[in-house]
Amino acid sequence: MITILDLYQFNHLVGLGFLDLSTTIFVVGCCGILVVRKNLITLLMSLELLLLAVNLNFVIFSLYLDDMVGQLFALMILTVAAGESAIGLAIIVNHYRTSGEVSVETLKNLKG
Amino acid sequence: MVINVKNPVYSIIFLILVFINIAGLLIYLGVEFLGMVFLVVYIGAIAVLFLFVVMMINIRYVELTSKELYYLPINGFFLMVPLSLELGFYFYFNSGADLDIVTYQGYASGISVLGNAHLLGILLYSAKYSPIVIFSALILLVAMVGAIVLTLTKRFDVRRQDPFDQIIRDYKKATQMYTIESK
Repeated sequence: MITILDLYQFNHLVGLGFLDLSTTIFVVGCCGILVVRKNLITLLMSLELLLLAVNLNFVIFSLYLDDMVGQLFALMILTVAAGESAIGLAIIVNHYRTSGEVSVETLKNLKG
Repeated sequence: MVINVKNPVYSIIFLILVFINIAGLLIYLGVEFLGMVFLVVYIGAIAVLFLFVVMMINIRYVELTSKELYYLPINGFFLMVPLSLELGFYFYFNSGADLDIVTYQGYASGISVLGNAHLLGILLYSAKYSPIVIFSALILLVAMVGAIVLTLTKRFDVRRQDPFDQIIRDYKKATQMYTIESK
């Protein structure tokens, strides 16, 4: 069991190493959106990865700066991520009903 | 792995793996409440939602062709922007820069007395930060209503019950007496 003082010092010494992880997740999400572009569901999943990385950054800096509000904002971003995925999946289902596929490349037919 | 696997179901399983890892890291860092909420919301809600949609829609396996690399010069630029920003930020912090914090809510001093969830709850329902709660509740309400409105389509090719029509129907009008003469 780690004590609170250990936790505090740990966060100040090692905590920023977690930024590597969040940066990696963010870059993977960016690659999923910008480079791979397979289908809309993969795109939405990489959007979730981006929000997860941002959330992790908020929590890490909340611990590093000893400020509680970061965790509050992480909670709000969690809400936004949940709502965004629900609405995005609803739009995907609707788009699949009308057009019959969920590819990103055929999305340009929406231009009309 | 999440973005490179061909089958979307495997991709979702790797996404769940990432979420579990992050939740474990948060619990390890001493942010137990947020870690548990990550576990519940991300895996219990979002990943299951993705799984449902993937099973509802049959997706053709799209092979990765050379056409995807057509967008690489433009997208590579956008890809480099957050990467360089984060790296610059990282080195800036590692160089020992001082941060002036105007107002801050102490975390390490509070957690020695109360738990993490208790501290977060006190902060969440204080007068200063309670608009955040109301705002997130509003976001969830709008998301729920929006998702229902988007997916609810009335089908006209199905015969369905009309309860009002059933109740208002009078047996005197519906049945008629015939006298059939026997030979």
